[in-house]
Amino acid sequence: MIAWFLRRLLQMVLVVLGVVTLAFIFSNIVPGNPARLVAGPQATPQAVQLIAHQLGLDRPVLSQYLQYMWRLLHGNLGVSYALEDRTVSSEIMGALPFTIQLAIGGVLVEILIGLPIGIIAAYRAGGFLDRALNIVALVGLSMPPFWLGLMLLYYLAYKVSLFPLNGTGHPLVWYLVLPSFTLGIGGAAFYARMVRTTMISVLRSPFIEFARLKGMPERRIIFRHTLRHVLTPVVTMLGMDLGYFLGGVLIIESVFGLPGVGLLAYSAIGTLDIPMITGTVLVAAVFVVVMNFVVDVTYTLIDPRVRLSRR
Amino acid sequence: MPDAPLQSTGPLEGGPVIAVDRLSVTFPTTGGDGRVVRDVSLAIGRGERVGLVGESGSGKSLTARAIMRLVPRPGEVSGRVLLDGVELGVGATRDPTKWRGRSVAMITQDPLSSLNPLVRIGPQMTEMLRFHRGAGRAAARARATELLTAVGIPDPARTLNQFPAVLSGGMRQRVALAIAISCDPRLLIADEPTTALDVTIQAQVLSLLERTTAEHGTAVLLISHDLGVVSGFCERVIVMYAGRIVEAGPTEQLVSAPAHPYTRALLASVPPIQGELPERLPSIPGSPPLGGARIPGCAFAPRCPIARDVCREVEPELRAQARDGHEAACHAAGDPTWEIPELASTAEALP
Repeated sequence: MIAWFLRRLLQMVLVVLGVVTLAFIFSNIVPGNPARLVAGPQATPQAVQLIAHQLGLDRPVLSQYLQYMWRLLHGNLGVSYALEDRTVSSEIMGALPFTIQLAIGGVLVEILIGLPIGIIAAYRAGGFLDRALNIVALVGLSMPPFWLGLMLLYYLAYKVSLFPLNGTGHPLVWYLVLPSFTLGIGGAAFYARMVRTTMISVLRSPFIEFARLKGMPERRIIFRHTLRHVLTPVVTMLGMDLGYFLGGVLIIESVFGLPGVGLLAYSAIGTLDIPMITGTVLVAAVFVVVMNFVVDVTYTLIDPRVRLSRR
Repeated sequence: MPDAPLQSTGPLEGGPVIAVDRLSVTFPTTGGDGRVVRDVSLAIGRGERVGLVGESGSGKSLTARAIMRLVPRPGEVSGRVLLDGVELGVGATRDPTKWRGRSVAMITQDPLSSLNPLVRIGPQMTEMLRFHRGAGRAAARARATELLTAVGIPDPARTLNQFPAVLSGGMRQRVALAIAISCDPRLLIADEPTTALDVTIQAQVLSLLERTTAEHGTAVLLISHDLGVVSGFCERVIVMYAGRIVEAGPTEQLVSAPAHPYTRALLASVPPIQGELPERLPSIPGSPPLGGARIPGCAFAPRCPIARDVCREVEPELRAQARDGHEAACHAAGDPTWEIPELASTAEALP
């Protein structure tokens, strides 16, 4: 058990370092000179040179990389190129609350809408309600989030001032409703279909028939005997989604003006702010890897047949 | 008191526990009339053990599920099932949780998957006691321990806390049996309870089935494709072919003097317990008609060694035979003008 955990931990660290390395390499391969972008279009070549020197960009890439990794090992993500005197970690810490709120909101929408729809559809499989919900899910799946976000803003925030148009200057839940819905609706539709499929196959299994033969009421058959089986794939997806959302969701953040990690990464890419790019990528990688780990541990809580040591 | 007739000591002490009256199961199909169970009627008395025998696809499992009102969609059931004289699925018994499990219990073929893999044995046993009997947590658990001991689980207290995956197939079938008898049902339907188990375990489970049901006078309907298993366990045997009852009678009578060629062929297919095994076990050539497909005349005629023209034209009725309680649906039964080959040679005589 402990051996498994340590091995797993090592794996996670290696993955994160690998991702960071790739991010670093790609930021350096991209054409463009960060020093020029920092100095501005009117700057003289000397000024650009000077800034390049200050940022350490005139040294070999390998030496820059080694220095970056060395600092990383000490928990130092470096200083932003574009925003002078601002450390990458303080910027990320500032953006993270919005991203976390949005991620949780999105995942909640996925569960609260996706699960019940999937359960009802499975229970009424083949019936009118099932087909109607299937169409709803299909629509939900095919709507591009940026379009849905703009539509929601136009009708529910602009035409009817139900929700704030932009930003975060409102009580927490209120400004999160539209972004969360936009973020989660595609996943909700996907969950609904996944839950439906899983649940239909579980409802056909011999132990459900046996539960019926035992004279158990349908409510108990669904909640006690079926739902746990449905949870396994849901937990997998949920963990993945949460990890992914926590890395920042650019489109949603930019449509709704939420200053989260996604927007931070986006503007960093625009200015070739390599420490910031690498830092945001690092955060995203950590979340994905950690959530994967959480998912694996959760399996063992749901299904007694899964044991951690058995890889 | 709508529940009154469902209590475990019914008012009709002498009458049958369960009476099945022209039960049919229909599946919508393109060919045939889709009736995969046709006009099955049977009655089982208190504490009686009756076997239902037939090849796969003969409709025996569907008959059981029709009795339990659990025929998978889009199957439709017609006919009546009376439990202690009360029709199931009507009035007070419209809600199946009022009688399933508590008055009529059933165990199924696959012990490996009839228990929920994600729920501990304990709750799977006690939920029935708690729901049907209103037993408290502690009382239900005590009864579950008792039941597990009765079915020969070595360490019941520990087993209650385990998940099904750690138990062997035989153990799981014992647990399923313990669950099925936990509310002292009037009738226990056992659908191929030993098919998935190896032979030594089979015998143990069967004797367990006998012992546990005898205690409370529970009637048993044992469904099997194995006439050997059924004849060793049951007082009466019913043989099904292509969805119909083709022969029924007391076990001894049916085994010593089968009236239907299909029963004869089934008997010839049972491997001998003593002596040398034949090089090839006799089998019945051909296969039964697929679900609901109908041919004129007797459904067994294409495979029957003694079939005549009349067999291919007129479907024989289930008729009483010379001895009491013996019925058969065969033109040749009880008719001395038909030459009936010796029992042992029936299968070999087939082309």
